[in-house]
Amino acid sequence: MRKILGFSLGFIGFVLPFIFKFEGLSFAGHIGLSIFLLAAMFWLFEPIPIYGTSLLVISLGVLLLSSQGVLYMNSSLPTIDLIPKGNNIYQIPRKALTNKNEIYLINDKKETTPIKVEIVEENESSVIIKAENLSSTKICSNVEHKLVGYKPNSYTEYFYSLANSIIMLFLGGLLLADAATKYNLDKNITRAILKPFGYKPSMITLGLLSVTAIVSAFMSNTAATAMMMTVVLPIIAQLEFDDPFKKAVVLAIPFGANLGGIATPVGTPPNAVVLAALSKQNIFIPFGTWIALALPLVIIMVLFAWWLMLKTFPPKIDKFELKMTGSFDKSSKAITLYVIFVITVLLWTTEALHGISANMVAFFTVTALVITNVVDVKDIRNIPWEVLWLVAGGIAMDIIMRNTGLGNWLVSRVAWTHLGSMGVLTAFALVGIILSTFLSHTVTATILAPLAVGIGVAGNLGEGFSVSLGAVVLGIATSFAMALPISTPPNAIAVSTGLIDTKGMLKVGLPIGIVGIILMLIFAKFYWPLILN
Amino acid sequence: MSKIYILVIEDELEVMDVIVRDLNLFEKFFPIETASNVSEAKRVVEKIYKNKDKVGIFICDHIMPGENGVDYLVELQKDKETSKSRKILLTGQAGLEATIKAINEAGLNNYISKPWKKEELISVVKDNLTEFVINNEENLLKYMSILNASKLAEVARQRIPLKE
Amino acid sequence: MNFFLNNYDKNNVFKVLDSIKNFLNESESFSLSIITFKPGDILIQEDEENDSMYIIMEGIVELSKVYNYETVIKVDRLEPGDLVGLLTFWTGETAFTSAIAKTDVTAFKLTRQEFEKLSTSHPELNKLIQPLIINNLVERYRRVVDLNLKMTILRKELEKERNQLREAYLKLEQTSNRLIHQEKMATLGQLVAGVAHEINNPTSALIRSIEFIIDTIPSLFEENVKEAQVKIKLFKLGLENIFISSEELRSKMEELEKKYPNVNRSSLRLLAQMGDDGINLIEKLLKTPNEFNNIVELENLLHFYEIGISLKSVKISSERIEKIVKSLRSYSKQNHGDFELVDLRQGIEDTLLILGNKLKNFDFHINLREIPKVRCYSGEMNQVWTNIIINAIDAMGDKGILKIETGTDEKFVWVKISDSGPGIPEHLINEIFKPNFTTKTASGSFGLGLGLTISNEIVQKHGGRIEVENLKEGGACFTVYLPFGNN
Repeated sequence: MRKILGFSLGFIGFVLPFIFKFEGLSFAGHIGLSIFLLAAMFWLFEPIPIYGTSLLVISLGVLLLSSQGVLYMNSSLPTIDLIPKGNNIYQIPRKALTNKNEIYLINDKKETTPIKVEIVEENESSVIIKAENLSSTKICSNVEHKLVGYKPNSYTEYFYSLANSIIMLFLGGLLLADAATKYNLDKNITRAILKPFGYKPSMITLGLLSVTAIVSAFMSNTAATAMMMTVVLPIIAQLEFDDPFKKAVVLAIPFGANLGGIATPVGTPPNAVVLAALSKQNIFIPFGTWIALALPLVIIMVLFAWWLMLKTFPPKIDKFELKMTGSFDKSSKAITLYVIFVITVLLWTTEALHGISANMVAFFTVTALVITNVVDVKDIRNIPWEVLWLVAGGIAMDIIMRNTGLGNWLVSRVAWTHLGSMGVLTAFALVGIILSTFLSHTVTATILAPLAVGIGVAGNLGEGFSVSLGAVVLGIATSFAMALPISTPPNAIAVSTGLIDTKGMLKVGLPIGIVGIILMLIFAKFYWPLILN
Repeated sequence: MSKIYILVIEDELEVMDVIVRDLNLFEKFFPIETASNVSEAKRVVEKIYKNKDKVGIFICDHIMPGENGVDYLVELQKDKETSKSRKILLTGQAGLEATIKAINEAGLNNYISKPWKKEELISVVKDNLTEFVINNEENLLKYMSILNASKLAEVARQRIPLKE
Repeated sequence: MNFFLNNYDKNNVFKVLDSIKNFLNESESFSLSIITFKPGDILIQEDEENDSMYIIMEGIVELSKVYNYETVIKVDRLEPGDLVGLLTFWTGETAFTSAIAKTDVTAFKLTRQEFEKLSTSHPELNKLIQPLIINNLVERYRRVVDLNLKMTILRKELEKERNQLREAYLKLEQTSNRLIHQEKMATLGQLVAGVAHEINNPTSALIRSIEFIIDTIPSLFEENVKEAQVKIKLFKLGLENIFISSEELRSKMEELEKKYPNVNRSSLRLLAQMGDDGINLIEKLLKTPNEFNNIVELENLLHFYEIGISLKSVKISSERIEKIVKSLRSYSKQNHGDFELVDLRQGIEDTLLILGNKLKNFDFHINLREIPKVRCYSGEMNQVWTNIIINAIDAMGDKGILKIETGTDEKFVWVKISDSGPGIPEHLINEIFKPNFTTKTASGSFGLGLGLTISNEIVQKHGGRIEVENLKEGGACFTVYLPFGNN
């Protein structure tokens, strides 16, 4: 059912721009809109896997919009020279004039620029116009041509999205997490960090929240949750008592993971998606800068979540021992991993000092892990490549929007300026959290990031708004969506234990979402601009 | 969600009552079905699989009116679906030959002799159900409160997804 | 033992000898070579050349042969008138046997040269000697034939004895097996009787205690409180519980599940087992007619029903133990002293109860009509029933019908036990009571082929008999007849 709905909506979305002509949108923009609507519907309803949709976006970009694709292969802009009919007076063909009285000047780089002109005289086939200070004498003879307002790029640019520098950062994060799991580093770190939290149930809850947050900052939220569950559940599940503490524990883990993912660029894919969208605009937020932005927010939210959990599920027992056994792997490979892990994290967080991009560090990490045999081919195959494809699809979508002018056009549909900068940020945050409560966070970020960046680039929102601010707000907002079991895989894992129900999750997850958004907007108003600008 | 049943096959209803009571604690996750002979068991199994549910464990007496327990377990082992189920003989009278047959041809997982101890029965059923869910279920976390949690955790850890 | 061949007259020899003597005396050219031997002197040595022939005049010479270089075997005994060295003398071969004087012997020695001279110079002597030689040979031939005859007769007798021995051995073996079996049964009987006695005491305690508990529990509740009354009723319902079939249980559970979707399966199972009376009781008490929302309250109430069921189970089970123990004791009764007056049907019932598990797969048609009591050892008769019933179910394989009937005629009480198996092959029907007849390959006390033999003996000991026939509708039928009355 959902499949059929997804397919039909995707098809309708794809066809729509071919039927209706949108004012101010170029021919290429229409094609871009087709791809965008198709992808959005497919991402929303998942008639095909979401990473499949991402590949589809790349393929459609190559096929329909690249200079080597079927539409733009061997095509060139119809060009004529302006025929001067006096001082600043020219005769042009009727077709060279738009119905907004514009002509398209063509410069040496074959780029078209629309120029407003005065009409002096009109007849059936030609028009006499008046225009001043023209920089070129060549104009486009047919304003409805597919190349007007669009310069096709090479297909390779779409393929590059698969090897975008943010993809490399993420690859590094995934492989590092993979290796950490392999040598039980995650489990042992958990054990080591949890110990000082003692025997009080309230402290244990805080401990679990923090540990999961820390682990999840460097590995996927899902993996962190699953790992923590397998460590803690056997101890807690077998207990014969019926204490709210049990619920607090199974909630602390997924929520800690969700919040912890916000803390670093590699914490969760939405972070990577917005960073990738920004990188297309040549805006780079260093690893350490992201942490500076996000970590205070995460810490406050973890404490808030802790307080809320104790309030909602006050433990009745006063002592509980979380018995965990195990020891650090001391094989040479494991030690190599520890070294690589520490160096990587240090380099990531101190980017400002040495200037080596976290993306580059990530790739060095991958190289180091492979050449030292810390990971083998099985571990490499274990990497969820489709997550990388998913992000790449978002990057390709971003290329399409920017190149075809679709982004600007979409942004210009709404009178953003009326909302003011805070209004726009609030809108992003709300749309982001609501969509990702029901959808995959990554998909939400993938669909919305190009728009957020587009609005920023349009640059008419005045003081207090920047391209990066909007994108970061959007990216982080998606991570605050944790009200329902379907909101995030960690939530789904927690519910699947049978120890917590949807109602219990909602009681804690919803307030966290609301408070998180408010707090984030306060940060965006007063704190983030200090760092970002 | 498809259900995983415990099927008890025992001809003496008093004994059946006691077995079911011993296994009560599993019922929240694994509904118990009963049959007092093999032909009834076959009907129950057919119904269960028709509903897209499965039998996680067969607990079967050997000497019963009609077909005997071991022969039935051998039949079950030949079926694609029920070959995945765990099989336990709970009996006082299976001779050496029948027991050998059960082990070799029915893939018998455990033999419990009557009279049994409650703890023994529970621990055998628990271990077997743990094996069953490990081999046949995706989500292991929800069984942790009732089955062998440390074993489930170990396996679940190896299955940790890296994606989200 | 002289036989017809032995009509050879020694006197002839002496007559001949006398005539030879006379002849030799008359012809002076010969000096008479009469030689005497002392006992132990060797006339002819085995394996040595010999050129003389002796004619024994007096005394006894023994022929012997060394067998296997060690044993000296006596071959023949020669008396006066017999010739020694006849064969070597004629053939010139080495001696076949040794000839040794047994007593003082006087013999007439004739060397080959002398003999040749004699026979050429006195051809008439030949006439005298030839019959002597022929007689001697005939005599030897007779003895060979005689010997052969004797040997044959001996061999036959030996064979006969050997057969008797074998038979005796078999009989011994059977007797020993039977004795072992009987001893086994006796020991087993003692053991069983002992164990039964041991079980009896705790069982009695169990039954008394459970009766006490059942009687006392209701009085523990305050009778005026409505809830307590419901609990007592539920408890009593449990006590009266008869388990419904699992099929019925399932369909009731499904019905109830629709009605009370919140109730867990364990409680549903109890409600289904309890039936409508109990459900109504609980509904009234919980005041939420169609929704048992208060699961804890419901489970609490159901506990009383469960206690009832459990107590009933304990009661029934201990009564069952009591019954089995009783049967075991009477089944394994030892035969001391005289026969006792016994109702055979009791023994048959005990046997069936004890064989219980073996019989689970079979259908029974049991028709035990009133029969007079019979004088017998009941323990031994139980062995008979056990043997015949086990034979019957073994013959039937996996399933079949076992019929047991009792009845009387004028003098006998009879018990007919028939099965629906393949019957007994006609050519074997007379064999089955013979010891060691068995069609079973499996080991075990009844695989020795003694079961029916022993049964037959036991019945015969009681003055009865067992008849076997194949039924027209298939299957074998054993009928045991035992006399009743004063005999």
